Amino acid sequence: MATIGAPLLQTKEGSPRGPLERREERLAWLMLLPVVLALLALGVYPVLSTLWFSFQQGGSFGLGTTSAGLANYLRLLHDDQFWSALRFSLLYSLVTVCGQMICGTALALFANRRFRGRWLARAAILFPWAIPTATNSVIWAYMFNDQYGLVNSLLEHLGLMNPAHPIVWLGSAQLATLLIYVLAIWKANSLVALLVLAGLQGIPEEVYEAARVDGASRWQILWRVTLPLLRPVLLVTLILRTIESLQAFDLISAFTNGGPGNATQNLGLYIYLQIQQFGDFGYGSTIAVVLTAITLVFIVLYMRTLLRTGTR
Amino acid sequence: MVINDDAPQMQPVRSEMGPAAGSAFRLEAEPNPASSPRLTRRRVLSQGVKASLGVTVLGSWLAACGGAPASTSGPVTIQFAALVDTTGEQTAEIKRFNDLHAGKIHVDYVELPSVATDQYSKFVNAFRAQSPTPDVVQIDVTWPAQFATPGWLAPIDQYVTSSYLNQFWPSARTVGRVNGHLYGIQRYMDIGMLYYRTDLVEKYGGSVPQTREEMQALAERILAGESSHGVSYGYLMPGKKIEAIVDEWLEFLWGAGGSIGEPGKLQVNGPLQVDALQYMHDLIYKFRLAPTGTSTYVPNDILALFSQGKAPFMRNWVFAYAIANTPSRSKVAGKVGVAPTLATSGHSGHGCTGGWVLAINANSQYKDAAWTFIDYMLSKETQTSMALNAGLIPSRPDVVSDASVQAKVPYFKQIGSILNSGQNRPTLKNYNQFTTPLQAAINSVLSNQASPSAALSSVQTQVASLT
Amino acid sequence: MALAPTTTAPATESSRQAARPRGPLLKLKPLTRQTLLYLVLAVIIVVQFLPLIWALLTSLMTPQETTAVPVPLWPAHPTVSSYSEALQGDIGRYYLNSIIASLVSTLVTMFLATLAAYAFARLRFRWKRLILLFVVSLSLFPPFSQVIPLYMVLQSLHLIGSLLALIIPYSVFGLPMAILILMAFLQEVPFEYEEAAALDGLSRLGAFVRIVLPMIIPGLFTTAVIVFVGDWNEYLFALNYTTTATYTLPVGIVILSQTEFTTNFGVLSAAMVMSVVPLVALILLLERRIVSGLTAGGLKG
Repeated sequence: MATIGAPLLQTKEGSPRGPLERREERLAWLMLLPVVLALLALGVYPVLSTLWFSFQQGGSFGLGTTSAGLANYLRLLHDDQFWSALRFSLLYSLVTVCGQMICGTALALFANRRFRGRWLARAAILFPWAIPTATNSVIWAYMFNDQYGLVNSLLEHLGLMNPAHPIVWLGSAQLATLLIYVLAIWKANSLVALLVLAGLQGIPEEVYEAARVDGASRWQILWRVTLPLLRPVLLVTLILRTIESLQAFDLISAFTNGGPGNATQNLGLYIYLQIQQFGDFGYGSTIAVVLTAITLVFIVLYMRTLLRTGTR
Repeated sequence: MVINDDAPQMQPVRSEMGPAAGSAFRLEAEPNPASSPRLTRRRVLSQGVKASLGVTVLGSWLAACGGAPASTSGPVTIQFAALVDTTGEQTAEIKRFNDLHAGKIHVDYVELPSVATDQYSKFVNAFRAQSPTPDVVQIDVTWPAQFATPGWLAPIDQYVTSSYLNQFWPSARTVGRVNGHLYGIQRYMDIGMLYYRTDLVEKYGGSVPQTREEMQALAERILAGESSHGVSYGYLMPGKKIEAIVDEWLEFLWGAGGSIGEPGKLQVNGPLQVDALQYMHDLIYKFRLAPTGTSTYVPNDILALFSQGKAPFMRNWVFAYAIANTPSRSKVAGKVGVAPTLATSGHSGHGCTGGWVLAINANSQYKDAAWTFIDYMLSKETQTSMALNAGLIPSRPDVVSDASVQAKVPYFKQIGSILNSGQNRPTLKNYNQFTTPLQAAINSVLSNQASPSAALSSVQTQVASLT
Repeated sequence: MALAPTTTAPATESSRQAARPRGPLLKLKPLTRQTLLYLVLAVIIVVQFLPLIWALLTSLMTPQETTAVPVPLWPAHPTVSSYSEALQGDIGRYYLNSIIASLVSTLVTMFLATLAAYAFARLRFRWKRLILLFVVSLSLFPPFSQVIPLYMVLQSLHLIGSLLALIIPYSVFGLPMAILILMAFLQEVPFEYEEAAALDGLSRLGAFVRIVLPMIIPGLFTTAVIVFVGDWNEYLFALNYTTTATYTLPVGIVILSQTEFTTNFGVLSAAMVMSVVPLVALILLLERRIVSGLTAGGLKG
């Protein structure tokens, strides 16, 4: 079985020997060439420019900068706003990705059942994620407005809130952070659900049959059969959600703009501020590079975990 | 873009320019409905694949359909980029100009999203890439210094005489002056004002409050007497982490006789500065005149409250006046007056000025045509039309004081003196580095998470030496 | 959570598509179980749809109602003025731009990504990990640091302001994500199928196109949907590389609903409803028609 092709991370590298292998290699390169060329043409320059700017300082919007050596990186060490944004980003990523993975998988398992009205469940999965993120955040901010928001109006109608003392949802750091978590989980559990659902559809029915014949309970089937088979999909979902959660911007900027104070400012907002508003390409790019490195660490960790558990 | 079965059709918008004018070429939908887009999957795919293959294919494709440089005899087309105007007045003004200069100059209106930071990004991108378009830009009053310092705006000294300039409000003609050159003239004015309910102020016997204490006393009386009639708050102000809260803080500071000093030695944590912020905090948490949700409000939010009769006083920009006085959108229409912002006793209120400035892209190839357009936009006729149809305040006093205009826009009678007492924000090439930390500091005080002195002191070192 | 209901029949297509839950494994009575299922469905629908429902209601309110304190839970005088206001604006053009930009880029991305994903997931070649790392790492850089450098590239190609200024970046920047997702779906396909195909005399490419691709059609469709919606909702590039003629829906919604100081929640909601509802409906429709049809065909063949 492993002769034709094994899962990616178990593949032995090194130069192939026979003519068959050489043909395989040629085919691989042919299939990869367009992607590699496209990325070289468009993707590489912005990345190199970001790396280069992280060693530059001064100037305005990247014009007239001078060499900075490691000054930008050293500046990070004493920048309280960077550290608080980093802390927010990491916590945000941890909480929301976990939430999305759990809620999304549960949603997918539910929507994979066969029942009348299942299309409603599928629509429910698609919907939150189909709204443009920024528009969505404006709607949420509207819903949580303390004066004319839906949520306070509902609470008032239910007699749960005194209209003279409306709940100021976005006025305190704790509540605002909590709401951002909820919003982020709500917005992107769709993506997890979609991917998991497609993964579930790829699992042949025979596998479940076999498990049932062996007398496995539903719970056992979920943990011993379904989830292990979903591992590749779950891993890639985890990776994608991690990347996006660490880069989050639209969602927070249109919701709280980082407020109150700087309590909900994440690295995405801070980079935006430095680059697009202050024109400080040097420092903004430095933070971008650090964020990229952090993301890379996460991804390598996830992949390692897969590699270990993958080779049973 | 249209993907036909024929070659893609591109229309050179600036026909007299060669293919070098990159941003000038736009792939536009063919206006003729007969040749409406025919999208076949195969076609789209093949074009798309071609498009992604890289620079060479793309380049040749574009060269093929971009067309040879067209004749140079046609009209000069200039692009005017300004935020979207829902009243339609801006489009009408441009159309009149185009009719007036038919065959010579054609103005293309590039409407921009109204979010200021979005516009800022778009302008920076174009300027930084030395794009020749847009030719004429409408920019916020805090941007001329930011854009002129790196050489992105063209000086307009040669077009204006001092007598020409004297037609405008003082702040409108100085706002574009950077390092001894003039880079723009303001098109319309904005200013922070105190909005008040004329009926309630009259009923509770007061004159229009000029000082913080007068406002407080009157607001408390009104609140006590009118709470059964839906008045729940005394004073409304924006408090979200946006530019407006810096302006509002500056107004409280200026109204107490303070200032933040000159660029290069700015001071934001002096006693008067701290006192102004403390007062904003006290309005919410001590006097309980402003709602506890203030720290989350944008100007639109407090206008909604004011329009429903929830409060007798509000600090807001000029836009609120028209809406608050429109019966279909406001319960207090006809009962809204405006006055200078609050002061402390012995001082007078100074509203923070805002508004939008017309300027020319330094890389524009049609600076003369661009100036012709700006001159038209600043003319008495156009500004009168703008005041009447878009509800904006002209930068020309002669329009504001015009009796026929005042007959239709009554508050122009007061706006003259309010504008004359207005003050500009500091002219800084790094204005964003000044305002952003201040916004966060002020917002954290208004949301009761930091003390005014601590918040402002933390900002002081960041902004002190900005120029 | 629950698993797919059990069926004793072999896993044929007909039983896969059957909407009859038959479950001997259940401890609950069927009726209770049904009730529970629909209770869960109701909760999911309320949670997931709440903002849409609220946007629908808001879009039917008068401007005054949308910011009334407290806001009414139901429009007292339903009006479609928000919709006509949105339609009077250029929402049709934003729509067309969004459709063209997203559709073309999705097709390009999917075509290129499927080829690459197969190579990564199934073929052996030198420097595989290095190349994969290269592809993935390009997606790790925060987009803000790339907006201006990319602007310079597009400007030098004279593309700023054209839809190609969106199509090209979307097509390319969607690649890493699409490749990763497709690799995951490809890894689910057992190798035995290709071994069998090889014994039948099919080439690697032939086996890929005729055996493997049909097996991952749900995955392909899902990936395409994810890529498409991602492009559809993209804001940063759509803001910076476009002009009046090429604004897409996310930027258009801002233009339609916001002025310098005001937000018209009615128009915002109407524009959002008009943006989202057809999109979701279309995806569901396609999913039914294409995916189930092709999957059935693929498995039979």
